[in-house]
Amino acid sequence: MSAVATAPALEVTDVEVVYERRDRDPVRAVAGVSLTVGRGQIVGLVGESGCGKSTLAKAIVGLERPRSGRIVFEGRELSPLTRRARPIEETRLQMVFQNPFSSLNPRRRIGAQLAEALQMAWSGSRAGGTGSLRERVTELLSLVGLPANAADRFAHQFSGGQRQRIAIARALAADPTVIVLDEPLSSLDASAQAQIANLLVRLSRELDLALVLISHDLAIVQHIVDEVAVMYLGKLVEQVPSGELWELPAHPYTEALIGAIPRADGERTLPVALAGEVPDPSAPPSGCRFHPRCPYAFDRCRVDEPEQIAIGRGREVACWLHEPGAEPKRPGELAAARADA
Amino acid sequence: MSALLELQGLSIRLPTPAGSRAVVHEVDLAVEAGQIYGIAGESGSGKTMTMLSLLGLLPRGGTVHGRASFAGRDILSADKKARQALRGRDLSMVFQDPMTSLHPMLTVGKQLTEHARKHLGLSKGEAAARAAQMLEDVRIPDGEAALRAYPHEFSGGMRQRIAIAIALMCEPQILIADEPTTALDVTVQAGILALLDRLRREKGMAVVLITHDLGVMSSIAERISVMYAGRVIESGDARDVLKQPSHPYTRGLLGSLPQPGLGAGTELRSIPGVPASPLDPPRGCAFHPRCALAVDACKEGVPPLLRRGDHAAACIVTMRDVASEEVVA
Ligand SMILES: Nc1ncnc2c1ncn2[C@@H]1O[C@H](COP(=O)(O)OP(=O)(O)OP(=O)(O)O)[C@@H](O)[C@H]1O
Ligand SMILES: Nc1ncnc2c1ncn2[C@@H]1O[C@H](COP(=O)(O)OP(=O)(O)O)[C@@H](O)[C@H]1O
Ligand code: SF4
Ligand code: SF4
Ligand SMILES: [Mg+2]
Ligand SMILES: [Mg+2]
Repeated sequence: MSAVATAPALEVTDVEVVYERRDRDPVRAVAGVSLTVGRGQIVGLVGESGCGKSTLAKAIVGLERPRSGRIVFEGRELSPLTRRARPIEETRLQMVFQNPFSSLNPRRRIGAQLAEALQMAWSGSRAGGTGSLRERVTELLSLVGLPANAADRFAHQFSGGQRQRIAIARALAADPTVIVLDEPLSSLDASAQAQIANLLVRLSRELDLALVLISHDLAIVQHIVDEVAVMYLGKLVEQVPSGELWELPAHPYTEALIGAIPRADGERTLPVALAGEVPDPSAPPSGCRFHPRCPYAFDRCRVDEPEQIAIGRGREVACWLHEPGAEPKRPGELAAARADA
Repeated sequence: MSALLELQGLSIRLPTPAGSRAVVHEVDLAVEAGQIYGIAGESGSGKTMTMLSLLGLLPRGGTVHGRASFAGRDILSADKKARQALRGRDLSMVFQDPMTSLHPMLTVGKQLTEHARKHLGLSKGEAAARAAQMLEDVRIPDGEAALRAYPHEFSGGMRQRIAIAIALMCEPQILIADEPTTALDVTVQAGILALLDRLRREKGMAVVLITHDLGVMSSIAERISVMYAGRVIESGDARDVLKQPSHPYTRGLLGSLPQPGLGAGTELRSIPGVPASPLDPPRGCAFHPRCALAVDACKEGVPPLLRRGDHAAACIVTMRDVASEEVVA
């Protein structure tokens, strides 16, 4: 028991996921990712469209079978199954999908859908939980800030933000300790985004719930997560406590992500697009995967692939500009120093 | 005044279990050639339905009232055939959910070239070359191979970009893009925005850009309309609306944006309360239950769009100075 109780909520080690395709090269969508999520911790996963975020998420919850690597949930290695029902302990690892609108059934009342999720979670273990089904449904709704009468309505009668709350409530039915959320904020307007973001932080604190939050919106992510993991073409390139991210992005790609955020200042300035081609994940560039688009690339980058190294306090980066154990610095500063040397 | 696309008093009714309800009320809009026109607003505020009505694509039983014209021609009363011709060629739409515009059983190449061959009379080879170029423009790697692949082999954001490529294949005069970059990360989004802006400059393409992302809006839109509960509640030059928002809802949206660099764990500001359901909006100003400035009169009638120069807002409090003139006039 004790080893399990002190284990992190989720430990992903060297996970690799490959899609085989007809008459084309296979895609290594996740090319060796390691990530630890502490209990009650919120980790943000950001990165380019197509870089493998959803694939990693699906591997974590068992919807894709990793080719190699380990996924350890609360100290137990997850059975690498796809499609078959998972053992009950593993329902405490939940996922909210990229498009919650299509994952809610349009023809059934919300209450019935939540009740079904509760029954599924209760079957087999923990003998029915506490209180009646109806009471638990009301409790779930109130947890996500919806009135009890929401149970009697249908999905289309709710706004996008409310539907996102319902999808979260459904994930909460299984009394999870970890929820992986794929882009839960991107379809919402600024105000609804802020509300859901605040809700996620509150739920995480109140229920000691760990969250893996996939998002491409760094501005909002850095507000609500404890740590940010930046992914590029199937690999993590930087892991950083969110407080330091804005001031000091260490990887050139992270810096580009921050630079491309459009500002609502009415100035009509186009955000800066990253130069270069979007690489093909079935034929990643040699050396550092980012080198064809990196403004600081030098000779070594084209040949040797950088591994993640520790810098500063609790940070990791995969870039040749940095020395192991050194203080984090901005890539531009390090590149200038290199050029001088 | 000869706008390329013009809506006047456009209203939409949809069937609901409780009978037919108005979900869009009297929308006016004029988009010039070569202009990027942004439509902002909460999910459910009627942005998508407004645009679908132009293409005759409302959900079954939906009806549209008012007027809409494209290049001077009435499009609401046009017959199905005329509308389809318009849709394939001069007016093209990117749907919010790319899977609705992509056919799951057809290769990406087939879907890209089909329309272009029909509408532009291109040969098979010409269409394929153009399709590969289009995929490169929307930053899909290895376009040649992508042409032979099926939609499910791509990530969510890549499907969205493929849908954009299909919509641009025939060089439309106007592109209606419903949340085209919502599924994309910021660097790819920046590429798509640059592409739209380039097509506007070089080919004079107009764009109706529906997005709830005010940053995206700010970076390329020339004019903006903001919708709430099925009505346009503010419109004007993008710079004016974003720098001096006049409607309390628009102000609330801008106030909810995360402040970059404001550390982790700080509570984000948001507009209190829940969005009005357009199916059952509150009486009077639909925003009044959430509005800090509301006065008793706000519950009485629906506030008209009041104009200060060419900046209009439907609020009797913040536009009080012009409200009295309007009554006199
Ligand atoms: N079923 C599949 N068959 C083949 N390739 C796939 C499949 N699903 C995803 N891929 C490929 O794997 C890569 C990663 O896809 P994934 O969906 O994980 O991206 P993502 O980071 O979630 O992107 P987005 O932000 O656009 O949702 C992409 O190159 C995609 O084309
Ligand atoms: N198929 C449908 N049947 C009935 N009502 C619908 C349907 N689709 C959308 N609505 C309703 O129409 C209103 C406007 O929706 P929509 O135009 O999609 O909003 P937006 O694009 O601004 O998010 C909402 O109240 C929505 O619930
Ligand atoms: S290793 Fe080289 S190419 Fe890669 S991010 Fe660092 S500087 Fe750029
Ligand atoms: S009309 Fe009244 S309720 Fe509506 S936005 Fe203005 S002040 Fe607020
Ligand atoms: Mg995804
Ligand atoms: Mg919509």
